[in-house]
Amino acid sequence: MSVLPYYTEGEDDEEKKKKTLYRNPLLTPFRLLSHRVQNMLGNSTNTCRVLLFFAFVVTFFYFWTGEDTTTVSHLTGGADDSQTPPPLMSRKNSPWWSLAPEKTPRFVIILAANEGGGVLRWKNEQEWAIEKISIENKKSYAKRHGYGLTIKDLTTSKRYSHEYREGWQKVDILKQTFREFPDTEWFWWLDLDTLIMEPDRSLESHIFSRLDRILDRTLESFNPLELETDLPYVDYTQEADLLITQDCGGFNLGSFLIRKSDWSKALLDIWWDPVLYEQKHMMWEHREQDALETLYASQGWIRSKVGFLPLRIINSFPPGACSEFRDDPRYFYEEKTRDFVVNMAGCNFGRDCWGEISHYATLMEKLNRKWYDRMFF
Amino acid sequence: MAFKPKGKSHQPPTWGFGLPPLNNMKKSLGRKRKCVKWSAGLGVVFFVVFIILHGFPGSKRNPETSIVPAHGYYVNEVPASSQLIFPTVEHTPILKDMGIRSLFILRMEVDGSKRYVYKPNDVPLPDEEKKKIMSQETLAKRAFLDHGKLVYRRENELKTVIVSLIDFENEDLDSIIAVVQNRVDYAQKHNYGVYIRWIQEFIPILAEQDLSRSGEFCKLLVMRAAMHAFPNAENFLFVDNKSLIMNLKLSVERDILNPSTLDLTLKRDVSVSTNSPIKTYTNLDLKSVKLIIPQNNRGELDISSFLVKNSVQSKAFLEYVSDPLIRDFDGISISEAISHVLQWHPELLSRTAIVISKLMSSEYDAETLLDENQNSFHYSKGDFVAHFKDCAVKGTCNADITNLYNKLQHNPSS
Repeated sequence: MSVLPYYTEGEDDEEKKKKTLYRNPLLTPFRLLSHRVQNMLGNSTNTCRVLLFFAFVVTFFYFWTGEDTTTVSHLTGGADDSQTPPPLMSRKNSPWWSLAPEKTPRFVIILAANEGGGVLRWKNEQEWAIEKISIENKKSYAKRHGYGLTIKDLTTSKRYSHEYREGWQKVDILKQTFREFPDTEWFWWLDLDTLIMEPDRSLESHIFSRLDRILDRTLESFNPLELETDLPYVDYTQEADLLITQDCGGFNLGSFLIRKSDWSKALLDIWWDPVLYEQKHMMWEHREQDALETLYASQGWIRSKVGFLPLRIINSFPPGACSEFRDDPRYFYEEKTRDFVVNMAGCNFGRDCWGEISHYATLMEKLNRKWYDRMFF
Repeated sequence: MAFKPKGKSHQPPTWGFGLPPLNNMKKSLGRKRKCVKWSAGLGVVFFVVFIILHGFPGSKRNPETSIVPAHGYYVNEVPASSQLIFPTVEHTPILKDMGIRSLFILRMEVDGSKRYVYKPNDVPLPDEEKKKIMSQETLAKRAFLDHGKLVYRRENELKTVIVSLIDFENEDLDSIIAVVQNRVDYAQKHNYGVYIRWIQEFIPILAEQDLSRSGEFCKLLVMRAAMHAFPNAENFLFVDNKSLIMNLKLSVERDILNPSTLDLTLKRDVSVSTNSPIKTYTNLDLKSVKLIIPQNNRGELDISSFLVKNSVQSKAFLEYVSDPLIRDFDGISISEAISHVLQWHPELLSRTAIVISKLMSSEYDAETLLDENQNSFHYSKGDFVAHFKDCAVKGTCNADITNLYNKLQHNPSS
C-alpha cells in the first residue's frame, strides 16, 4: 500500500518548530540563511557556529587566494630584448585585493641560464643536463616559498663582446628585471652553476631575520683584496642594499642580493662607464666584478650600502674552487652545517662541472629525504 | 591541547582524545561559553597561521649598529657653533707667506715624485689651547688644518647652504673679505648656512696637485664636504670666488627651485655639451630634480655656480666625478668630466636640470651692462649672481670683485 504525503495537525515537535520558523514574519533573511546552514552543519541550533563557519570561509579564502605568488617567466630573452612582459597583478591594480597579502613576490630569483647559448660552440649533453637540474632546483624552491623566478638568457652576443661592454650583461639584466617586477623589493641573482642545497629554508629565515648578526659592513675582519678599510663619507648606519660575498680572490657575484632603490638604480647606471673601462679593461679580468671592486674602493656612497655575507651563507664553494686555500673553512661547503647554496664557481675552467653538480644534486636529495618519502619508493 | 572549561558550576567533562564531545556539548557547556571557546580556539589557529606566514611583527630586522661613524677626510671632527662656517680670513697674508710647503707634509713617493699628504687622524686643537699659541704662524697653520673638521650638527630649520672656495695664494685680502662677506650677508638675510673652505685644503686629496690645472675639481670636493657638514640641509648652492651674489632678495627655494622658475629657465632638447649627440630631456620631472647646472651661450656646462639637493643621486654625482679614474683622466676639464658623466648615465641626467646661465651665473661685462641690450647670459640688473668669466686670463679678478662689491654696498640695487 502506497502512502501519499499528507499534512496533519499532529506533527512532531521538530516539524512544528520548522514551520513556525518559516511563518514568523519577524525573521530576517539572515536568520533564515543561518538556520539553513545550521541544518547543514548538524542538528545543533547554534548561531555562534554559523558565525564561526563564515569566519572560517572568509579567512580561508583570504589566505588561499592571497598566497599564490609564484611567477615563473621562462627564458624571457636577453637583456637587449626591449619587450617586457606585462606587469604582474599588483595591489594598486585591484582595490578588491587591498586587504589580501601582496600579489607581487617580495623576492625574485634571477637565474642566469644558457651561458654562451651555443654561439661559439655546441652545447653538449652535459651542459643541457646541468641547465635542467639547476633550473628545476630554483623553480621548485621559488614555488615552495612563493618567490618569483625569472630565467635570463646569457647567450654570447656582440653587444657584450670584447671592446664593447664585455661582461656587462649582468648589469643590463638586473636593470631589465627591475622594470619587469616594479613592486618587488629584493632580487637574488644566481649563476647557473649553483644549487640550493636546503630548499626548506626561506630567505627571510635564513638571511633577513638575522641580518644584523651575519652581515659584515666593513672590510676589517675579511679583506682579501686589501682595500683601504676607512674611506670618507661612508655611512654604515644606512641599511645595506647590496648583499654580496667575498671569496679568496675578492668580490664574488655568483650569488648576491640587491634591493631596488634609488641607490641601486644609480649603481647599476654607473657600473659601466667607457672612461673607466678604457683605462681598466685590460686589468679587469672578472669584468663587472672588478669594476664593482674599483667603485667600492674609492666611493663612499657605494660603500655605505654594501654589506658582506659570509661566503657559506649563500655561496659556498666545492673543494675545486679556491683550491689553494684548502684548509680555510670559510669558503667550502660543509655537509654537517647544511650550507644553503653551493656554487660550482669556475667549474668550466679545467674542472668537471657535470661531476660536481651531479654530486651535489644527489647529496641534496639524500639530505632532504623525509621519513615519509620511503613510502613512495 | 584541549580546551577545558574553567567554569565553577560545571564539573569538567571527560573528553576522549582531547576533543570535546560534540553531541553532548549543549549539556556540558553554556552556549555563550562555547562560542567564546571556539572563537578563541579559531583565533589562536589563525594567529599561528599568520605568524607562520608573516613572521612576528616585532622580529623585523634592526638597522646595523654603526662601526665607524661617517666622517669626512678628517676622522676627528669638531661641532661648529654657528651655521656660518668660513675660515679665518685675516690669516690670508700669513698663509701666503708660509706657503703650502709648511702646511702639509711633503712625501717622497717610491717613484721619486713628491706629493703633499695630510694626516687623516689629525687631532683638532681645542680653543683654549689655541689661545695660548703666541706665534701667528703656528696659529694660522692650526686654524687652517682644523677648519676642515668643522661640522654643523644642530637640527633646525636650516634649508640651504651657500658653498664657496677662497684662495690665499691668488686672491688678496680685500677680495677674499668681499666674497666671504657677500655670502654671509646673503645667508643671514634668508637664514641659510655658509660653508667656505680654502681651496688649498684640498691639495693633498688631488693626484694632480697643481691647483692651476686641477683646482676646478675642488668645487665638487667642497660640495661633498658641505653635504657632510650639514647633513640636515636640503639644498647646497655653490658660488665660486669669481662671482658675487648681486640680488640678495632672491631666495633659493622660492626663486630658483620653484618648478615654475625652473620650467622657464630649463634648456630642453639641447646638447648636454657642445656638439654632443645626447640631448637634455624634453619632459623632465621638475620635482625630482636633484642637480641644477647652468649652461653658457656656447653650450658648455658652466660650473661657476651650481646647485645640488641632498640626495643619493647628488652624492653619487659628486663622488663619481671626483673618482681618480674620471678626475685624473687625460687632462679632462671639470666641464668635460661632468658632461661625460651626464651623457653616459641617464639615471643622473634625468635628475639634472640644465638651465640658462642667467638663473645663477650671469656673465658680468661692464660694457653690455651699459648697452641695455638684454640677453640671456650677460648680467643685467636684478640677476641673482654676477660672474667674472675671463678675469683670471686678464688677471683682474681681485679688482673686479672688490670694485663690484663696493658698488653693491653703496648702491644695492645696481
